[in-house]
Amino acid sequence: MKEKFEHKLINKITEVFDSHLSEYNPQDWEMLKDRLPEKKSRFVPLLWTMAKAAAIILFVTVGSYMLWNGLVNRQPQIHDNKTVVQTNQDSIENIIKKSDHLSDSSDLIIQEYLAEETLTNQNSNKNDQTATEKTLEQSDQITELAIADADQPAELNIADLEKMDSLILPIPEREDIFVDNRSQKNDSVIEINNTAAQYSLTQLEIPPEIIDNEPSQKQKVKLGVEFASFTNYSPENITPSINYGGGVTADIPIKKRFSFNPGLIVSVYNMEFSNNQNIIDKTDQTFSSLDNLIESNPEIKPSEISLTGLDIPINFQYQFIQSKSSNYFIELGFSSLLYLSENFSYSFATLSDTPNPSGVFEVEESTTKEIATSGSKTFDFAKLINFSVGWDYRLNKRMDITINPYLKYPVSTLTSGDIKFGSGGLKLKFMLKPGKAR
Amino acid sequence: MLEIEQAENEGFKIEAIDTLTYNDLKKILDELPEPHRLIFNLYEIEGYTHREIAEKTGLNKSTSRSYLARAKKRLRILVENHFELKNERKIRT
Repeated sequence: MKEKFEHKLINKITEVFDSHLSEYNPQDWEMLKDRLPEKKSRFVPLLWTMAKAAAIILFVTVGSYMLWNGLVNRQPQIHDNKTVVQTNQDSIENIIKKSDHLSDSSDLIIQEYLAEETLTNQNSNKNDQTATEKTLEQSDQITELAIADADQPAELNIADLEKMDSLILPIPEREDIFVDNRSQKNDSVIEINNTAAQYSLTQLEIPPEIIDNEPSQKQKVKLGVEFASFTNYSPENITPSINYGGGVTADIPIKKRFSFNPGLIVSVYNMEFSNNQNIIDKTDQTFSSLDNLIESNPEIKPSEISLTGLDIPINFQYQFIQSKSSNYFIELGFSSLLYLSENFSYSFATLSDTPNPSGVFEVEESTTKEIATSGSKTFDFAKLINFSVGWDYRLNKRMDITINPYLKYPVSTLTSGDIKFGSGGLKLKFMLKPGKAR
Repeated sequence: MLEIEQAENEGFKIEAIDTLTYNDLKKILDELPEPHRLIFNLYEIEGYTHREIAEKTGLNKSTSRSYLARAKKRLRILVENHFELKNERKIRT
């Protein structure tokens, strides 16, 4: 009844005062006009505004143009240095000359081969030998060129070598010409390939025991669900009650024994404060203005709190005992709390506004309920220190169950009601390794 | 306590609040002590929290809360008086 009355009256006041418009009084306007600053010409501010707008447009246009040009005409960094460009051009010319020389020599080889193609198969081995010798000579020439270019800067040598690679590449085409010897060559290629494969296998050979052990040693991220049952404690004498929470959690291995455990837990807190101090203010009857109202009432603490909080724990876990089927660990970290809803009830006593017939001010009990507005949610960042010890039991290759008692210690006041409270309880986690079971 | 509430229900109809005009409400609010009116306005009309009121006025949060409670109590009495139901309630009780 009381709350309904208050709600209705407050709504009525808000509605009436919001919709009320005072009647227009010309004298009021004249009085207000005198107080207003002198009217200034609007021309100069308008020009100034236009100038600012023009400057912004110009800046954006020029900036965009330059950026676009920069992206379109982007050249390799080496072109910024003129000397390097010249040196490169010189070296490229040299390489072209050398490549011409080499192509001439390869043409000569082909011509010689075609001339000798009419000879018998017996001579083909000789041809092969000659071709191989020529190729060797050619490669010697390339090597000489590379050595000769060694005096040039390192970058140019790299460029030259790249060019030389392109020169060497056409050589395998000659294999197409040696049709008669293809089978022999193919055999030799297979042999080489086999040797190379054997070599690479020898190089990459991993002991079988390591291969077998690898999956078990590889630590994976575990995801899971968590349920918690806890009670709160506070210096404000909370009547003990059991609260609950639940959410998702993850286990991210950092090292063999260390892991990082973030989570997202929705917790419901219902707290009732016992022996809360009632306030009796005595200054009320004497005030005449706000200035002399500054008084030192003790802080009223809520009598009841009902909260829904999103707990964001960030913990680091150390496994001090590890065995095949279970682990024992300790966890240390901090929690941040985002309150989804906050409801407070305050009970206190005040003196009556008017004295009773015998001239005594009576004590009146007051109870107020406050609901934090939904627009501005309170977020307490890292205001709780978490500590827990626990036992992790492996149910199967993919699933673990964890039981750990924990304690959350507040480093400062929490919620919009500035209440200091911590919690302690028991957590039950089911952790799952995502992916295929091995 | 229940009897008092019942008596209050009988003596005052909440729907009567709808008939209050701007001038009625202004008159009622003007009768509140200045600090009570200030806290009532800031908390209920403007939507400030007690923490914000404490920061703005220099009062502590407890004082702000107690003044608000007093303002609400006083308002109820003033509204009842306005409708001249107070005497009727006294007669019934």
